[in-house]
Amino acid sequence: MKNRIASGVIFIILGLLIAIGPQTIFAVCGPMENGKFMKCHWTAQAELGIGFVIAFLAVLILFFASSQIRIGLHFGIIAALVATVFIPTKLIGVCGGEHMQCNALTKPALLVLGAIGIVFGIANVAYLLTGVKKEQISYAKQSHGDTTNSSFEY
Amino acid sequence: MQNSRMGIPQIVLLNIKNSFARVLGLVILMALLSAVLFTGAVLSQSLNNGLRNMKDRLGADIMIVPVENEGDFEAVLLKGEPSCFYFGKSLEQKVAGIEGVELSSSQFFLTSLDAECCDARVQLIGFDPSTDFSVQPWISKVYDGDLTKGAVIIGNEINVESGENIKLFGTEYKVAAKLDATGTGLDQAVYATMDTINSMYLDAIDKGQRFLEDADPENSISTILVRADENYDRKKLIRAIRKELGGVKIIESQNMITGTAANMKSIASFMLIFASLFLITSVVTLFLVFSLMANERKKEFAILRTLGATRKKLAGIILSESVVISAAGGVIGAVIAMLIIFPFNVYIGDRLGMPYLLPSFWKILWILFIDLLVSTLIGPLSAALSAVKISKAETYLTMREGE
Repeated sequence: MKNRIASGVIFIILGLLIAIGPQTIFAVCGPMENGKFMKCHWTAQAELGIGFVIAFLAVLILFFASSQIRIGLHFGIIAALVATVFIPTKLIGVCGGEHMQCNALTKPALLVLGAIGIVFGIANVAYLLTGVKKEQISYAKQSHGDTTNSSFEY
Repeated sequence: MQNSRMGIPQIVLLNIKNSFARVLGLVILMALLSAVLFTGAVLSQSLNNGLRNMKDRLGADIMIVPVENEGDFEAVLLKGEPSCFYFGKSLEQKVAGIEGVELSSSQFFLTSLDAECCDARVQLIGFDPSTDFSVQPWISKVYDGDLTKGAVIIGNEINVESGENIKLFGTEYKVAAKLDATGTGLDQAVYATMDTINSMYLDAIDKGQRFLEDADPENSISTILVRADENYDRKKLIRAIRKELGGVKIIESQNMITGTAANMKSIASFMLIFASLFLITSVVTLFLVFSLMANERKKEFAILRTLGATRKKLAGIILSESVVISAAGGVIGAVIAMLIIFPFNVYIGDRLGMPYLLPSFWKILWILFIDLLVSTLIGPLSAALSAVKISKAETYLTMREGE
């Protein structure tokens, strides 16, 4: 229960930061003088979508008690976080100038958020997997006991 | 039933598990201390590196710019904010003839277009190879040939590699070499000889770019750099330049460095005071917490004594707990600090508005080692007195206490 709420809330916050951050707190560069947008604008748009997907999957974590379903949701979130990291670095990129806001602030912020999320996600999957193993062992013991009982009934 | 002996590590782990909230509080405190120490040390080193590089890089003792453009020139040097300003080229000859001037050379500034090579405008600096004494010594460190027409040298923060081409005003220029990082605004500049700058200027005019006063490289310059004769009175030289040239601003590089150094000193002092206060607060808090904890657990330790634990073992339990707490906090704090300092280093440098260059990898490793050592040692040092008290307590008296 504690893990479900903690991981759900952490990923919701991460998702919202990834979605809204590039538009607000660590905003990308504005349009050029001719009104055209630079690369970083499209990175921010892509992150907006990915961030909300992460937040949505995180909300689902809150509603599912089954460790196996939560592991599946975690994998989805981790994949989205990998995309979060690759969008500003490889897939779309940011502006070329090292001192431009998107390069100096937005890109590192997205990389740090993505990296923290991936590490946390993997650690939590490992933790959940140990829980699943325990569940399976106790289920196996239980079913073994049931069989013995049922043989008595015969 | 399996019979297993409990050693110090097992007891320490159980204690930490049973008082998780208190341990978490102490770990957070130690993490903050470690982060403050690491950040403070790396920032101070980076500012020092920046200042040292700026001193080396300026090369000139005196810089002459148009009277209203002192701020623009400093912004080019310190922050890399592109700018162009001009005065007549004839002034260079006048300066060269003044007594006390050992060397003099002029530079011509242009700014690139937005979204051309680097998305942001960059400073283009034209120099005369026959008189230059400030740029070429740096170029010779990374490029041993002569800079031909059509080739450029770029600052370390321009995102193009040596051997590639850079597009400026619609024309591709070969990047002959990339200069080493200096942490100054000059890392964002592109250097070319006057011939190359002249063709860039003509391309720019073709593209409809208009520079201030329509100055051109044939008749205008942006700055005159002067190396003064060491044996000549500097003040007398400045007076002579002022007398000879009207409407110019004379910038002494020493004054500029002193001004920057003074700003850096205030930042460094603030960081030192902040880190010291944090260090003292952490030591006092840890000392108090461990004293209270030892007092609370007197009977627990007395029972351990009756069960056969030696005095040394009791002290070991307290000291080990403190080491685990402070080391865990130290590592967590250092990781958090690294997640801020390194990815955001360009942003931090820009916000400080001063020359800023991260230390070398080995220097950072050394700072990390010292940070972890200090953070890890603070715990056991603060808990030492409690450990001694607990190990000296008389078991019988402790058990009978309160009866």
